[in-house]
Amino acid sequence: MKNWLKVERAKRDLTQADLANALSVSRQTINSIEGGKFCPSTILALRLANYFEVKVEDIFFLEEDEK
Amino acid sequence: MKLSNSLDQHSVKRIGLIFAIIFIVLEIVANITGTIEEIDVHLVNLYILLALSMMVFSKEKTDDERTQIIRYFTMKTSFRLLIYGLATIYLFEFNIEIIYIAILSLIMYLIIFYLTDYFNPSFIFKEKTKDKKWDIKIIVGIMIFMGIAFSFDILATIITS
Repeated sequence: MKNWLKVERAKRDLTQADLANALSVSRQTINSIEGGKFCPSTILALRLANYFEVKVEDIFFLEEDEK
Repeated sequence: MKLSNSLDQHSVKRIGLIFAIIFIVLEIVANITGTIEEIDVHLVNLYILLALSMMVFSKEKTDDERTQIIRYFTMKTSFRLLIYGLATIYLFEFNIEIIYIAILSLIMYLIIFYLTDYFNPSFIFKEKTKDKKWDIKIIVGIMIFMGIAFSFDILATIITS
């Protein structure tokens, strides 16, 4: 699963630490999600989408071989 | 995201760290200065064990879902290493006090946990499609080998008698 989290964060000029603090997760968690290492739970994905006021699928999307 | 779990608060980890450092330094200094017989080593070891337990069984500053995955991986790895260590000690009849094994396993847990948290290796977050179970194969291999060796031993005893 890929994501546009870094792009969404950059649009709002937020640091990883800012986003992590806003969502009560660690900075490493945001870093891992952005790097595609860690796949967040549905609830965290929804909270991220809610924070950026976009749909979940606007941030997270499946790669061709995952569909 | 605050997740509910049965671990102690993060402040307990700090208290545990302070106590662990104090008692480990005390034991090292007593060993170096040759005054080890003047202190109750068993009691100091027990305090070290309890202090390390406080560190292991408490939450991180930000305890999120990623931390829980790392904790699960670390628990699994350190427990597995502990079992292998105990099996080795039992097999080769090493004379080691059991409290040192417990202390070592807790230290090992903490090292693995913080290394994994820092380096963030991707393999612990990935779901494996095919588990090779190499360690189970090794254990089964050793058990088969020992079973054959034991059977030969019994057979030899029967023949010679």
